[in-house]
Amino acid sequence: MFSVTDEQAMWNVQMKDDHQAFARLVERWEEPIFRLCARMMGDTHQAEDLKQETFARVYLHRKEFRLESKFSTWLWRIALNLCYGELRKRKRHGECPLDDSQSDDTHPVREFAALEPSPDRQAVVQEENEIVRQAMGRLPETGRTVLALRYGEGLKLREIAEILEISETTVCYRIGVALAQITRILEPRLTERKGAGP
Amino acid sequence: MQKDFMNHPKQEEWLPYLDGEAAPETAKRLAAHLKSCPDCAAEIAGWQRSIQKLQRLEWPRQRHAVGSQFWPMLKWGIAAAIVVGIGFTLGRASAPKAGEIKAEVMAQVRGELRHEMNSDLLAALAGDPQSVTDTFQRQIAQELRQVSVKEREEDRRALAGILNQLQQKETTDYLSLRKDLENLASTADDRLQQTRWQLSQMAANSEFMNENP
Repeated sequence: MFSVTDEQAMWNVQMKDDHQAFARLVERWEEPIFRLCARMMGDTHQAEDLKQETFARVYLHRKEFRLESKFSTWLWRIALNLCYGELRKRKRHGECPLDDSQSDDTHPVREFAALEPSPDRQAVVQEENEIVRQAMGRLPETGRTVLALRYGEGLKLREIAEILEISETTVCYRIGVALAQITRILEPRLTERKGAGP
Repeated sequence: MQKDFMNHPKQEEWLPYLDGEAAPETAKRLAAHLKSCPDCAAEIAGWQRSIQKLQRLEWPRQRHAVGSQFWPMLKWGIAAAIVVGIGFTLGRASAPKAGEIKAEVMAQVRGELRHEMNSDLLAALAGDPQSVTDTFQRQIAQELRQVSVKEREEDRRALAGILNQLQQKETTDYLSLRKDLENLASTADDRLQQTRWQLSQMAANSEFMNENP
């Protein structure tokens, strides 16, 4: 069966205000956009809001989309910019990324883990997931972005470079820095957990 | 070996190597470095473990399937935004241009102000502060009148001073003239007496010459 590409669907949305085409785009992309927002924000509630905001913006700014460009690149950029905006608001209001010194239960990443448990997963995997989520929350925005796009969504280096409008070398550098940082956070935590295990 | 150990590869070189996308020569060089540099080997092994964790990391799925529910909600939101946008655009389009309104209002206000100011000024100058239009302008008229009265008093005072000075000067001149006249009279009297005495002397001499030729 012939499948309409994102760009073709977007053309219909742009030229004919085709609601069905837009609904197909939402259906196709809502999960990845939600995941990206969740990785960036560490909070499913905010991720849900940001996902909806992303698609609302896509529709409202549909005339601005250039048909020769790639829809997904445009969509990722909109979602990321919204996440950056929310993170800036969070910083202004004095909320900090996850830190070992902060152990209150209201922290976004902890809240995220507590609100959304995976009841069918083993306890060890759950614990490891939480450690990795917390480590992500402690990375700077640039590092979190490249890791989320590369290892969360499996995008190629070229695609990430295109979305962030930077060179592939810079993408590699940023991923390298982020990997070094997250490894320094993760290794002691995971070693400690293994040591304390049965 | 020692040289390789000292020249660690750049951070951005490792990623294409880990992804299997590095050029063959670069891949060979990096592999050799990992064998000779335990620090880099440990670091890159740590990166690989982190990558595995990140790839295995499961994020909770959305609480509900959004696709079917999201569109109607978004549709209403967008509809509301469009209605507001159309209303705003129509309002903007049907309204006269801001520049024209501004020019018209300015001209009108200027005319009214000019007329009001002229009549107020005339009323104030005529000394009738009650006939001016508003409190502020009445106050101005009052002040103008006060200034006028004050100026008149000052003029009068100055004139009196000048008259006084003139009077003093006239008095001084009169006294001086009188003194001069008195001096003149006195001198004239002396000279008259002297002349009279000289005449009497001459008469006496003349009589003596007649008696004794």
